[in-house]
Amino acid sequence: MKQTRWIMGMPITVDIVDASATLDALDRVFSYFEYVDQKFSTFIDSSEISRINRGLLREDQYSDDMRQVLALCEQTKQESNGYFDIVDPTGKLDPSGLVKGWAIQNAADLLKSHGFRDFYVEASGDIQVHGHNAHGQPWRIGIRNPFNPDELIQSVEVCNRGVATSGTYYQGHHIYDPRHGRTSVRNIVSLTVIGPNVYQADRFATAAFAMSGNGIAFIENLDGFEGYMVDGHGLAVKTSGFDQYTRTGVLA
Amino acid sequence: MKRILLSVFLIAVFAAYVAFHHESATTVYALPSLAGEKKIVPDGDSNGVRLDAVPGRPDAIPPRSFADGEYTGDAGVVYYGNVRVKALIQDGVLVALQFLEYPHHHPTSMVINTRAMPLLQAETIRTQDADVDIVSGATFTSLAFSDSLTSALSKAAKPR
Repeated sequence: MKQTRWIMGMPITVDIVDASATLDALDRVFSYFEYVDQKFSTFIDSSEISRINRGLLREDQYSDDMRQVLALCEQTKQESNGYFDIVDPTGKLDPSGLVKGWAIQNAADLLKSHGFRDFYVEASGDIQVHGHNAHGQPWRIGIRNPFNPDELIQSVEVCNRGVATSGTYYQGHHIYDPRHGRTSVRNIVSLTVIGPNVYQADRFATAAFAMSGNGIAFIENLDGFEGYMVDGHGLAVKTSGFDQYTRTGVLA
Repeated sequence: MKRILLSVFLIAVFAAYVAFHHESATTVYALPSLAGEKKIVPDGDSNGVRLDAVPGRPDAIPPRSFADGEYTGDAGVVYYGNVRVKALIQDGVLVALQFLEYPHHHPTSMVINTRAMPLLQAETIRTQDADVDIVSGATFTSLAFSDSLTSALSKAAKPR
Protein backbone atom coordinates (compact mmCIF):
# COMPACT_ATOMS: atom_id res chain seq x y z
CA MET A 1 0.00 0.00 0.00
CA LYS A 2 1.62 3.18 -1.22
CA GLN A 3 0.71 6.83 -0.95
CA THR A 4 2.36 10.17 -1.63
CA ARG A 5 1.36 13.42 0.03
CA TRP A 6 2.80 16.91 -0.04
CA ILE A 7 3.94 17.96 3.43
CA MET A 8 6.77 20.23 4.63
CA GLY A 9 6.99 21.64 1.12
CA MET A 10 7.96 18.32 -0.40
CA PRO A 11 6.49 15.05 -1.63
CA ILE A 12 6.52 12.31 0.99
CA THR A 13 5.90 8.70 0.00
CA VAL A 14 5.13 5.78 2.26
CA ASP A 15 5.02 2.26 0.84
CA ILE A 16 4.09 -0.68 3.06
CA VAL A 17 4.45 -4.12 1.47
CA ASP A 18 3.07 -6.10 4.40
CA ALA A 19 -0.37 -7.58 3.71
CA SER A 20 -1.52 -6.11 7.01
CA ALA A 21 -0.98 -2.55 5.74
CA THR A 22 -3.89 -0.19 6.36
CA LEU A 23 -4.80 3.31 5.36
CA ASP A 24 -4.83 4.14 9.02
CA ALA A 25 -1.15 3.22 9.30
CA LEU A 26 -0.33 5.48 6.37
CA ASP A 27 -2.37 8.27 7.94
CA ARG A 28 -0.42 8.04 11.16
CA VAL A 29 2.85 8.45 9.32
CA PHE A 30 1.63 11.46 7.37
CA SER A 31 0.17 12.96 10.54
CA TYR A 32 3.56 12.66 12.15
CA PHE A 33 5.16 14.65 9.32
CA GLU A 34 2.47 17.30 9.72
CA TYR A 35 3.26 17.50 13.42
CA VAL A 36 6.96 17.93 12.64
CA ASP A 37 6.18 20.63 10.10
CA GLN A 38 4.06 22.57 12.62
CA LYS A 39 6.84 22.39 15.16
CA PHE A 40 9.99 22.93 13.13
CA SER A 41 9.06 24.92 10.04
CA THR A 42 10.64 28.36 9.94
CA PHE A 43 7.99 29.26 7.35
CA ILE A 44 5.18 28.84 9.85
CA ASP A 45 4.89 31.80 12.22
CA SER A 46 3.25 29.77 14.96
CA SER A 47 5.81 26.94 14.91
CA GLU A 48 7.89 26.40 17.99
CA ILE A 49 11.10 27.19 16.13
CA SER A 50 9.63 30.48 14.86
CA ARG A 51 8.55 31.43 18.35
CA ILE A 52 11.99 30.59 19.68
CA ASN A 53 13.53 32.76 16.99
CA ARG A 54 11.23 35.64 17.93
CA GLY A 55 12.33 35.30 21.54
CA LEU A 56 8.91 34.19 22.76
CA LEU A 57 10.11 30.99 24.41
CA ARG A 58 12.70 30.51 27.12
CA GLU A 59 14.94 27.49 26.91
CA ASP A 60 13.15 25.79 29.79
CA GLN A 61 9.92 26.08 27.79
CA TYR A 62 11.22 24.11 24.80
CA SER A 63 9.44 20.86 23.98
CA ASP A 64 11.25 17.55 24.35
CA ASP A 65 11.42 17.12 20.58
CA MET A 66 12.92 20.58 20.19
CA ARG A 67 15.55 19.86 22.83
CA GLN A 68 16.41 16.59 21.15
CA VAL A 69 16.73 18.13 17.69
CA LEU A 70 18.85 21.04 18.91
CA ALA A 71 21.11 18.63 20.80
CA LEU A 72 21.48 16.49 17.67
CA CYS A 73 22.30 19.59 15.63
CA GLU A 74 25.03 20.51 18.08
CA GLN A 75 26.36 16.96 18.03
CA THR A 76 26.42 16.97 14.21
CA LYS A 77 28.24 20.29 14.22
CA GLN A 78 30.94 18.79 16.43
CA GLU A 79 31.19 15.62 14.37
CA SER A 80 31.49 17.54 11.11
CA ASN A 81 34.14 19.94 12.42
CA GLY A 82 31.76 22.86 12.20
CA TYR A 83 30.52 22.27 8.66
CA PHE A 84 27.02 21.63 9.89
CA ASP A 85 25.73 24.74 11.61
CA ILE A 86 22.13 25.84 12.09
CA VAL A 87 22.80 29.23 13.66
CA ASP A 88 22.71 32.24 11.35
CA PRO A 89 24.64 35.48 11.87
CA THR A 90 21.77 37.04 13.79
CA GLY A 91 21.58 34.06 16.12
CA LYS A 92 18.42 32.56 14.65
CA LEU A 93 18.07 28.80 14.39
CA ASP A 94 17.08 26.75 11.35
CA PRO A 95 17.41 23.01 12.02
CA SER A 96 15.69 21.97 8.76
CA GLY A 97 18.95 20.46 7.49
CA LEU A 98 18.62 17.82 10.17
CA VAL A 99 14.89 17.63 10.83
CA LYS A 100 14.06 15.97 7.52
CA GLY A 101 16.20 12.89 8.09
CA TRP A 102 15.23 12.76 11.74
CA ALA A 103 11.53 12.85 10.84
CA ILE A 104 11.85 10.13 8.19
CA GLN A 105 13.70 7.98 10.70
CA ASN A 106 11.03 8.48 13.37
CA ALA A 107 8.28 7.76 10.84
CA ALA A 108 9.98 4.51 9.87
CA ASP A 109 10.39 3.59 13.53
CA LEU A 110 6.68 4.25 13.99
CA LEU A 111 5.86 1.69 11.28
CA LYS A 112 8.30 -0.77 12.79
CA SER A 113 6.70 -0.39 16.20
CA HIS A 114 3.35 -1.25 14.58
CA GLY A 115 4.84 -4.54 13.47
CA PHE A 116 5.42 -3.79 9.78
CA ARG A 117 8.46 -5.45 8.30
CA ASP A 118 8.72 -4.47 4.65
CA PHE A 119 8.31 -0.79 3.86
CA TYR A 120 9.99 2.45 3.00
CA VAL A 121 9.49 6.09 3.88
CA GLU A 122 10.82 8.65 1.41
CA ALA A 123 10.81 12.44 1.56
CA SER A 124 12.07 14.21 -1.56
CA GLY A 125 14.78 11.68 -2.28
CA ASP A 126 15.87 10.80 1.24
CA ILE A 127 14.88 7.27 2.09
CA GLN A 128 14.61 4.78 4.91
CA VAL A 129 13.98 1.22 3.79
CA HIS A 130 13.10 -1.76 5.93
CA GLY A 131 13.01 -5.39 4.89
CA HIS A 132 12.32 -6.19 1.25
CA ASN A 133 10.29 -4.94 -1.68
CA ALA A 134 7.12 -6.51 -3.07
CA HIS A 135 9.18 -9.14 -4.92
CA GLY A 136 10.96 -10.20 -1.76
CA GLN A 137 14.15 -8.59 -3.02
CA PRO A 138 16.28 -5.88 -1.44
CA TRP A 139 14.93 -2.42 -2.16
CA ARG A 140 16.46 -1.01 -5.34
CA ILE A 141 17.28 2.66 -5.14
CA GLY A 142 18.35 4.70 -8.13
CA ILE A 143 20.62 7.73 -7.87
CA ARG A 144 19.37 10.55 -10.02
CA ASN A 145 21.57 12.15 -12.65
CA PRO A 146 22.24 15.65 -11.29
CA PHE A 147 22.47 16.87 -14.89
CA ASN A 148 19.19 15.33 -15.99
CA PRO A 149 16.43 14.55 -13.49
CA ASP A 150 14.90 11.99 -15.87
CA GLU A 151 17.95 9.76 -15.74
CA LEU A 152 19.66 7.51 -13.22
CA ILE A 153 23.42 7.11 -12.93
CA GLN A 154 23.63 4.41 -10.27
CA SER A 155 21.43 1.93 -8.54
CA VAL A 156 21.99 0.28 -5.18
CA GLU A 157 20.27 -2.57 -3.38
CA VAL A 158 19.64 -2.16 0.31
CA CYS A 159 17.74 -3.64 3.24
CA ASN A 160 17.39 -1.78 6.55
CA ARG A 161 19.43 1.20 5.42
CA GLY A 162 19.04 4.91 4.98
CA VAL A 163 19.96 6.68 1.76
CA ALA A 164 20.19 10.44 1.36
CA THR A 165 21.44 12.71 -1.39
CA SER A 166 22.59 16.25 -0.86
CA GLY A 167 22.80 18.15 -4.07
CA THR A 168 22.35 21.23 -6.10
CA TYR A 169 21.07 21.94 -9.56
CA TYR A 170 23.79 22.11 -12.12
CA GLN A 171 23.23 25.77 -12.81
CA GLY A 172 21.26 26.58 -9.75
CA HIS A 173 21.66 26.75 -6.05
CA HIS A 174 24.70 26.25 -3.97
CA ILE A 175 25.09 25.12 -0.43
CA TYR A 176 27.06 27.52 1.65
CA ASP A 177 30.36 26.48 3.20
CA PRO A 178 30.08 28.07 6.65
CA ARG A 179 33.69 27.46 7.55
CA HIS A 180 35.24 29.27 4.63
CA GLY A 181 32.63 31.87 3.80
CA ARG A 182 32.06 30.72 0.25
CA THR A 183 28.69 30.67 -1.44
CA SER A 184 29.78 28.35 -4.21
CA VAL A 185 31.37 25.12 -3.14
CA ARG A 186 33.88 23.56 -5.45
CA ASN A 187 31.68 22.25 -8.14
CA ILE A 188 30.28 19.18 -6.42
CA VAL A 189 26.74 18.70 -7.68
CA SER A 190 25.53 15.57 -5.92
CA LEU A 191 26.59 13.52 -2.92
CA THR A 192 24.69 10.38 -1.98
CA VAL A 193 25.28 8.66 1.33
CA ILE A 194 24.19 5.17 2.38
CA GLY A 195 24.19 4.71 6.15
CA PRO A 196 22.75 2.59 8.94
CA ASN A 197 19.67 4.82 8.88
CA VAL A 198 18.40 7.86 7.02
CA TYR A 199 18.94 10.24 9.93
CA GLN A 200 22.63 9.44 9.94
CA ALA A 201 22.90 9.37 6.15
CA ASP A 202 21.09 12.70 5.75
CA ARG A 203 23.01 14.73 8.29
CA PHE A 204 26.36 13.46 7.07
CA ALA A 205 25.40 13.95 3.42
CA THR A 206 24.53 17.57 4.22
CA ALA A 207 27.75 18.17 6.13
CA ALA A 208 29.90 16.35 3.57
CA PHE A 209 28.36 18.31 0.71
CA ALA A 210 29.39 21.55 2.41
CA MET A 211 32.95 20.19 2.52
CA SER A 212 32.99 20.10 -1.26
CA GLY A 213 35.63 17.78 -2.74
CA ASN A 214 36.77 16.66 0.69
CA GLY A 215 33.29 15.49 1.61
CA ILE A 216 33.75 12.06 0.11
CA ALA A 217 36.87 11.57 2.24
CA PHE A 218 34.84 12.49 5.29
CA ILE A 219 32.34 9.75 4.37
CA GLU A 220 35.12 7.27 3.65
CA ASN A 221 36.40 7.76 7.18
CA LEU A 222 33.00 7.10 8.77
CA ASP A 223 32.46 3.48 9.73
CA GLY A 224 29.28 2.03 8.28
CA PHE A 225 28.79 4.74 5.65
CA GLU A 226 29.39 4.71 1.91
CA GLY A 227 29.13 7.59 -0.53
CA TYR A 228 28.89 8.49 -4.21
CA MET A 229 29.93 12.01 -5.19
CA VAL A 230 29.45 13.63 -8.60
CA ASP A 231 31.26 16.79 -9.66
CA GLY A 232 30.34 19.40 -12.24
CA HIS A 233 32.33 17.60 -14.95
CA GLY A 234 30.33 14.40 -14.62
CA LEU A 235 33.09 12.62 -12.77
CA ALA A 236 32.08 10.50 -9.81
CA VAL A 237 34.10 9.37 -6.82
CA LYS A 238 32.83 6.53 -4.67
CA THR A 239 33.96 5.24 -1.31
CA SER A 240 35.83 1.95 -1.11
CA GLY A 241 32.82 -0.06 0.07
CA PHE A 242 30.18 1.51 -2.13
CA ASP A 243 30.12 -1.36 -4.62
CA GLN A 244 28.90 -3.79 -1.98
CA TYR A 245 25.51 -2.20 -2.72
CA THR A 246 25.71 -2.19 -6.52
CA ARG A 247 25.06 -4.89 -9.08
CA THR A 248 28.51 -4.24 -10.49
CA GLY A 249 29.99 -4.90 -7.09
CA VAL A 250 27.98 -8.05 -6.59
CA LEU A 251 28.93 -9.43 -10.00
CA ALA A 252 32.58 -8.42 -9.74
CA MET B 1 47.91 29.49 -25.66
CA LYS B 2 46.61 26.02 -26.20
CA ARG B 3 48.92 24.68 -23.53
CA ILE B 4 47.81 27.29 -21.06
CA LEU B 5 44.18 26.50 -21.67
CA LEU B 6 44.85 22.83 -21.33
CA SER B 7 46.72 23.34 -18.09
CA VAL B 8 43.96 25.39 -16.60
CA PHE B 9 41.45 22.82 -17.73
CA LEU B 10 43.37 19.94 -16.24
CA ILE B 11 43.73 21.68 -12.92
CA ALA B 12 40.02 22.32 -12.82
CA VAL B 13 39.13 18.74 -13.65
CA PHE B 14 41.51 17.13 -11.24
CA ALA B 15 41.58 19.59 -8.38
CA ALA B 16 39.09 17.49 -6.48
CA TYR B 17 41.24 14.45 -6.81
CA VAL B 18 44.36 16.16 -5.66
CA ALA B 19 43.13 16.42 -2.13
CA PHE B 20 42.88 12.66 -2.29
CA HIS B 21 46.50 12.18 -3.05
CA HIS B 22 48.30 9.89 -0.72
CA GLU B 23 52.04 9.48 -0.76
CA SER B 24 54.85 11.32 -2.46
CA ALA B 25 54.25 14.32 -4.61
CA THR B 26 55.52 12.56 -7.69
CA THR B 27 53.23 9.56 -7.90
CA VAL B 28 51.88 9.08 -11.39
CA TYR B 29 48.21 8.34 -11.67
CA ALA B 30 46.75 5.94 -14.14
CA LEU B 31 43.91 7.50 -16.06
CA PRO B 32 41.27 6.01 -18.27
CA SER B 33 41.16 6.69 -21.92
CA LEU B 34 38.46 9.27 -22.26
CA ALA B 35 37.21 7.42 -25.28
CA GLY B 36 36.14 4.65 -22.93
CA GLU B 37 38.84 2.13 -23.76
CA LYS B 38 40.81 0.01 -21.36
CA LYS B 39 43.18 1.54 -18.88
CA ILE B 40 46.48 2.41 -20.52
CA VAL B 41 48.87 2.66 -17.63
CA PRO B 42 49.27 -0.76 -16.05
CA ASP B 43 48.17 -1.62 -12.54
CA GLY B 44 50.55 -1.45 -9.62
CA ASP B 45 49.77 2.15 -8.90
CA SER B 46 47.43 1.59 -6.05
CA ASN B 47 48.11 4.72 -4.08
CA GLY B 48 45.98 7.12 -6.00
CA VAL B 49 42.42 7.47 -7.01
CA ARG B 50 41.57 4.62 -9.33
CA LEU B 51 39.81 5.64 -12.47
CA ASP B 52 37.71 3.01 -14.15
CA ALA B 53 37.34 3.49 -17.86
CA VAL B 54 33.70 3.63 -18.74
CA PRO B 55 31.88 5.46 -21.48
CA GLY B 56 30.62 8.73 -20.10
CA ARG B 57 27.83 11.00 -21.09
CA PRO B 58 28.95 12.81 -24.20
CA ASP B 59 28.09 16.19 -22.73
CA ALA B 60 29.63 15.44 -19.37
CA ILE B 61 33.11 14.31 -20.32
CA PRO B 62 35.98 16.53 -21.41
CA PRO B 63 37.06 16.97 -25.04
CA ARG B 64 38.96 13.97 -26.30
CA SER B 65 41.60 15.38 -28.53
CA PHE B 66 44.80 16.88 -27.12
CA ALA B 67 48.20 17.47 -28.66
CA ASP B 68 50.71 14.83 -27.53
CA GLY B 69 53.30 15.85 -24.96
CA GLU B 70 53.82 16.72 -21.32
CA TYR B 71 52.10 19.77 -19.89
CA THR B 72 52.74 21.40 -16.56
CA GLY B 73 49.85 23.34 -15.13
CA ASP B 74 49.97 26.58 -13.21
CA ALA B 75 49.65 26.23 -9.48
CA GLY B 76 46.02 26.03 -8.49
CA VAL B 77 45.03 27.18 -5.06
CA VAL B 78 42.91 24.97 -2.89
CA TYR B 79 42.03 26.36 0.49
CA TYR B 80 44.76 24.56 2.34
CA GLY B 81 47.57 24.93 -0.15
CA ASN B 82 48.74 24.85 -3.75
CA VAL B 83 48.37 22.19 -6.38
CA ARG B 84 50.38 21.78 -9.53
CA VAL B 85 50.10 18.91 -11.96
CA LYS B 86 51.85 17.66 -15.04
CA ALA B 87 49.79 15.86 -17.66
CA LEU B 88 51.01 13.31 -20.17
CA ILE B 89 49.13 13.15 -23.46
CA GLN B 90 49.61 10.18 -25.77
CA ASP B 91 47.74 9.73 -29.02
CA GLY B 92 45.60 12.71 -28.19
CA VAL B 93 44.47 11.19 -24.92
CA LEU B 94 45.31 12.07 -21.33
CA VAL B 95 47.03 8.98 -19.97
CA ALA B 96 48.77 10.07 -16.78
CA LEU B 97 48.93 12.84 -14.25
CA GLN B 98 51.88 13.70 -12.10
CA PHE B 99 51.46 15.75 -8.97
CA LEU B 100 54.37 18.17 -8.74
CA GLU B 101 53.01 20.09 -5.82
CA TYR B 102 50.23 19.39 -3.45
CA PRO B 103 49.42 20.27 0.13
CA HIS B 104 50.62 17.59 2.51
CA HIS B 105 51.78 19.61 5.47
CA HIS B 106 48.48 21.06 6.63
CA PRO B 107 46.93 18.92 9.38
CA THR B 108 43.57 18.68 7.61
CA SER B 109 44.94 17.52 4.31
CA MET B 110 47.34 15.21 6.09
CA VAL B 111 44.51 13.41 7.79
CA ILE B 112 42.48 13.20 4.63
CA ASN B 113 45.38 12.12 2.49
CA THR B 114 46.71 9.43 4.71
CA ARG B 115 43.49 7.89 5.87
CA ALA B 116 40.94 7.94 3.12
CA MET B 117 42.30 8.61 -0.27
CA PRO B 118 44.03 5.43 -1.30
CA LEU B 119 40.68 3.69 -1.17
CA LEU B 120 38.51 6.01 -3.20
CA GLN B 121 37.58 5.14 -6.74
CA ALA B 122 36.59 7.46 -9.55
CA GLU B 123 34.57 6.94 -12.70
CA THR B 124 32.76 8.99 -15.27
CA ILE B 125 29.04 8.86 -14.69
CA ARG B 126 26.87 7.05 -17.21
CA THR B 127 23.18 6.73 -17.57
CA GLN B 128 21.70 3.52 -16.25
CA ASP B 129 18.66 1.77 -17.49
CA ALA B 130 17.54 0.56 -14.14
CA ASP B 131 14.30 -0.75 -12.77
CA VAL B 132 14.22 0.74 -9.30
CA ASP B 133 11.75 1.02 -6.44
CA ILE B 134 12.75 4.47 -5.24
CA VAL B 135 14.93 7.34 -6.47
CA SER B 136 17.36 9.38 -4.41
CA GLY B 137 18.55 12.76 -5.54
CA ALA B 138 17.47 16.33 -5.96
CA THR B 139 14.31 16.73 -7.99
CA PHE B 140 12.49 19.69 -9.37
CA THR B 141 9.58 18.83 -7.15
CA SER B 142 11.83 19.03 -4.13
CA LEU B 143 12.89 22.54 -5.04
CA ALA B 144 11.04 24.08 -2.13
CA PHE B 145 12.76 21.95 0.41
CA SER B 146 16.09 22.32 -1.28
CA ASP B 147 15.68 26.08 -1.16
CA SER B 148 14.98 25.88 2.51
CA LEU B 149 18.00 23.75 3.20
CA THR B 150 20.19 25.99 1.08
CA SER B 151 19.01 29.07 2.87
CA ALA B 152 19.49 27.31 6.17
CA LEU B 153 23.09 26.65 5.40
CA SER B 154 23.57 30.11 3.95
CA LYS B 155 22.29 31.54 7.15
CA ALA B 156 24.68 29.32 9.01
CA ALA B 157 27.56 31.43 7.74
CA LYS B 158 29.19 33.50 10.41
CA PRO B 159 30.75 36.85 9.62
CA ARG B 160 34.48 36.48 9.46
